[in-house]
Amino acid sequence: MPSCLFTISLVAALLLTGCQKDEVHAYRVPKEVPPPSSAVETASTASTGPAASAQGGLTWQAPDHWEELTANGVRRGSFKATNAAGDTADISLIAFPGDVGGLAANLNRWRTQVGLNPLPEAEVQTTIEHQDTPYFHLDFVNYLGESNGLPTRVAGAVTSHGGETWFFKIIGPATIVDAELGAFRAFLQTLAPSR
Amino acid sequence: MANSLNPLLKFFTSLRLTVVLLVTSLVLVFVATLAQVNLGIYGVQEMFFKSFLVWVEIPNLGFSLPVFPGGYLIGGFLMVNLVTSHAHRFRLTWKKAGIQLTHFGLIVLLVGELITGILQEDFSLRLEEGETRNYSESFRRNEIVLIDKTDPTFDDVVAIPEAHLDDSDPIQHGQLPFRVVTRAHYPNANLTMLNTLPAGTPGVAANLSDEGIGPRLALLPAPFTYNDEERNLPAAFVELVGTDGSLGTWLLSPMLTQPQTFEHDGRTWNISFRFEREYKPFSLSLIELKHDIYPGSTIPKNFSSLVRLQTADGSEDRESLIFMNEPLRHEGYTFYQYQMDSANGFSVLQVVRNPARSLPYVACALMSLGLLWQFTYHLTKFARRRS
Repeated sequence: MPSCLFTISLVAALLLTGCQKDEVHAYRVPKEVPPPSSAVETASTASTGPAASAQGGLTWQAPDHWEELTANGVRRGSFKATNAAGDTADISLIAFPGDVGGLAANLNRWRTQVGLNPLPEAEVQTTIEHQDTPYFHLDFVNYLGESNGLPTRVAGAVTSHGGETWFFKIIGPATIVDAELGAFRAFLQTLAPSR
Repeated sequence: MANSLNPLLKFFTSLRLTVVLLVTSLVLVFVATLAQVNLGIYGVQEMFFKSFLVWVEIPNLGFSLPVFPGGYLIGGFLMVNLVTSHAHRFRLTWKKAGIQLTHFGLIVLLVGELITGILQEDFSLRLEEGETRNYSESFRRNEIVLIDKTDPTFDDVVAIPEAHLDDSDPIQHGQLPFRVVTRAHYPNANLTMLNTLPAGTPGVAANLSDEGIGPRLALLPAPFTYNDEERNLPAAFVELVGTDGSLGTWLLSPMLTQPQTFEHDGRTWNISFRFEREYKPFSLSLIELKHDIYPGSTIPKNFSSLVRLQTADGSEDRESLIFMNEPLRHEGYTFYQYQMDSANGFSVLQVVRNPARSLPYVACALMSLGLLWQFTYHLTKFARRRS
């Protein structure tokens, strides 16, 4: 009989454990290190000057002052622009097979990267500027948000080529992205299918 | 004493109780299966199985009533019934050894399921290429965090689980120099920029915020979703009240990925509503993600994440390739390849910790052995009798 009572008590105790509401709790953590803007921004990366590149079906001509970084499987092209104040903007060229979840989802992801809230699909469409280059039609967007209390801008374009969706993006503090926007638009004009 | 306990013993050891409990559990499973259409798997588990009683809200009256025993109650009684019957009728003989072993296996199975239900943790870990994280995030639970960012090397975090936002009393904590008062809480809501919202849009909640980004936003409450493919994104208006009065009211939501900052008594604070985090004594870095496709097509062939695992004390530092059916296991955690977006260079791992992970295997082994013994014993006896 005592074993029976013990069992009942044990079961009751175990079941009641499941009813506890999580408590308010405190802890200390080391400061988070923000993810690198590119996984391949390493010390070994060398600037190659004016960068004319061809990767995975496209060619482009980057401005002289952009520092070219090593591309990898995900990034077909990667650059960095730096101003006198030391602010840097990250420029990436990424391609992915298929439609990658749709245009709105990807533009909303860019919005969240600068602290803006995602928008319903219909509203996202209103933010798109349609831009034609010699070879492509680009869906161009330009979002100004805030990151760590500083104005942050992401501008980018999306197009389809060779069964892949291509994303061209510049992101960083608004001061430098604003200054680089003209160069970025000119860069987009150089996109061409590789031969 | 013995006599007074006899009815209790009789009740818990009765076969009638077993039958009633099994029939009750059948009804519970049947009703829960029907309810899954509207509630989804998670909602059904919480309402029917991970509860003592099944509560149903009475329409228009604003309160709920228990209408049926829940999984914990039925399972608990089943286990007590099984254990007491087992103990009461236990006879150590070779003839009954197989039956005893099989029942013991069943008890292990029940206990394992109970421990799993209470202690299993299921989180996600999202990593960008090159990123290192030592925490994972809950798939469903959220928390409000107030982080003292003043020190340059570490952050002091006070985490308030979302369930506390419905408490009527202000939330206080020894490490907070202010009280946290929930002015409004929406279990699911959409946010949009106020200046993009057409005038007269219906369903916009009153904006109570006067600090941070909140006054520039419009909050549209949304129905709580039970769809397993969707996630509820809650929102709350939270006021901080110090000794000298209110510091302001913030609009918080996991949709606002950037924390909102304020100063108080010379210290810098961040406030945000985020997916609940669980920190670990080790970190994972995503070295490389791969999305392989079949040549000449866009059909996915394989997703894999090459990660580096480092313990805080430096005792372990190794690389591991995680791909389909090849998870990484470390310190009781299992990391599965869950999602991937190679266009944006990130991978999502599912992180599961279940202290009772091995118990179903043990239970099945015990039951198999028990049944094997029982059948062999009787077969041998039968064969001897024939010869």
